[in-house]
Amino acid sequence: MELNDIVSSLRVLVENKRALIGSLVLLGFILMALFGPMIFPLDMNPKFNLVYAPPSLEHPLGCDYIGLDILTEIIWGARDVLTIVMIGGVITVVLGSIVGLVAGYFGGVVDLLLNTLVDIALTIPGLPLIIVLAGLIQTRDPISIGLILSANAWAALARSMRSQVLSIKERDFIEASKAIGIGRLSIVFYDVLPILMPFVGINFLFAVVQSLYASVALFFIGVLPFSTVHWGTMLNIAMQVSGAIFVPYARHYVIAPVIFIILLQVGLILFSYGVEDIFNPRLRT
Amino acid sequence: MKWIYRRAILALLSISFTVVLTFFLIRLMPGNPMDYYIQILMRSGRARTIEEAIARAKSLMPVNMNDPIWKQLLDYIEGVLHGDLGRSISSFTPVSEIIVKSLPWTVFISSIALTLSFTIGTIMGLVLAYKRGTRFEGFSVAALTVFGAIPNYIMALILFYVLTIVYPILPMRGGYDSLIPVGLTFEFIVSVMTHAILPVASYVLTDFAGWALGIRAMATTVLGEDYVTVAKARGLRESRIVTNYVGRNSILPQFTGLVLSIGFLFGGSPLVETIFTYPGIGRFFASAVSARDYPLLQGLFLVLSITVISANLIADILYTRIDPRVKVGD
Repeated sequence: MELNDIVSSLRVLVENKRALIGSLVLLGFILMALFGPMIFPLDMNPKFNLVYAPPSLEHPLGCDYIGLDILTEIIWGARDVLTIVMIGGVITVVLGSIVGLVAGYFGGVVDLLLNTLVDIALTIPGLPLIIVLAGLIQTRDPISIGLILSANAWAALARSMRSQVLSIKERDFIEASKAIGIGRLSIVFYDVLPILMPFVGINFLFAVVQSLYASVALFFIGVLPFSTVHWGTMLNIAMQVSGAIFVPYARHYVIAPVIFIILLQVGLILFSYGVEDIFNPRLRT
Repeated sequence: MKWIYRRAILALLSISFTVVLTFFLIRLMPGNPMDYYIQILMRSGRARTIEEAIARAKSLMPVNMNDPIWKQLLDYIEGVLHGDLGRSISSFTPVSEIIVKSLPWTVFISSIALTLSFTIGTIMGLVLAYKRGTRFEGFSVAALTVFGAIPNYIMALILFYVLTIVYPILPMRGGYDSLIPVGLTFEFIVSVMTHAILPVASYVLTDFAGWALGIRAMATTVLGEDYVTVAKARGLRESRIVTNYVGRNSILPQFTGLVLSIGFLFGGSPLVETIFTYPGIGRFFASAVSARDYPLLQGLFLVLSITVISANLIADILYTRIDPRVKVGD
């Protein structure tokens, strides 16, 4: 990418309000997840004199049900939350793209088989499937969690990817590549895929949004094994374990994770809509 | 109509796939499920001797765990076909009984929620398309984007927190007030309605935005069509153009979304129902997962998938009747 390209895409990003706000929010969260844990060490020793301590200078967001600093938990939680949704998004997009590309380009029996698989995956209800899998597999490993999150999310992308490939397949330059004897797999990955990269990128963002919805739900409902500082776990503790939600002076403990979950979700959605605007100029109004 | 057969075969395939999947799910569980039940029975004191525990554990399982696996699978399928889904290990009630009891509650709240969010969203979206370019539109679109971004269970948590704890205005849990006798009395109906308000609101407040933004985008496209320009040239009133010309043409794609939402009617949300302890299928689903009640989980997931798959099939067939331009099965 030339410097000019970078400058011009940055300019589009800044001009598009949604993309700008979204990317600033996301940047904030990424910095928080990367450097926050270095600045705010996590101290897991209960401090019973600080239970549900209200926000103060020393503890800007107050303390939780065993007296731990909520801001520190949120910051460490950001790392857990972002790692899981990123992995979930990557697995969904890689699976969906490969299935869609292969089905669309190869056609015939391969297409029929993959398409049937996609249809089956699309009809099975998503969140219940994810909850059942998470309940049975009981894993702490982020990659396994990512696989569970993409259990049937890949299918929708595979479907739209396939129809994109079908339209590209007939273009002249593909014919040219075929004519000079380039292999089918090489054509798929070197000729077809690069054209679809913006499409894959946007779908990656949508997959991340979905992963966030599902992963917070899993921790909130308490299906996945305890990850102490995930925001969903904090909500689970507030609602079902410590009963903080019913304690009038523990409000800050419920409100903090709710606000950060909404902020991240809104940031992600604004950014993905913004990026979609940029790559799909026809939608610009 | 060849594609209808193809579509029906596909639905059957999906259903058989979930039957086999739910059968093997229980096997994915670490350790032997039988031993697990026996342990639970002994620990909870529901069986006094180990022999009694073994006998009871056997009766809970829909299949005999000592048979070869293919025979277990056939037995399981036979049981499913007869509506025998085994018994819940936490309450000892037949799984089918729990499903029959809980499904109506879920369909009740989710159908109200779907109707409301679809109607409100469609009207709002058309209004926004009509007011395009105004500051009101810009502000509303931003607000809708934020609302649409909030997960429904977070909205449920906020509503629960604000309206049942901080300001205790609405009932906190259950589908109706247990002090009121069940029956078609005015009191009972009011109780059922007030208990439904918060779960329904959680769905509507997060879903209507998506409908509104969808129809707004569609209506904006339709506004550029030639027949709209002609209608304007004829001097028709803008409001009439928006409802008759734009509205009708942009509402069709909305039905695709509606069709896809049918599955939601039967599944509801395990989280929203759990937050309000609503007696629907979603809550039993969530509690089956946390209690590791595998027969219940298996049965609920199977029934859920079968209803969703069949509903989608019916919806697909209906949809081609509504919009003759749709060609399914390409």
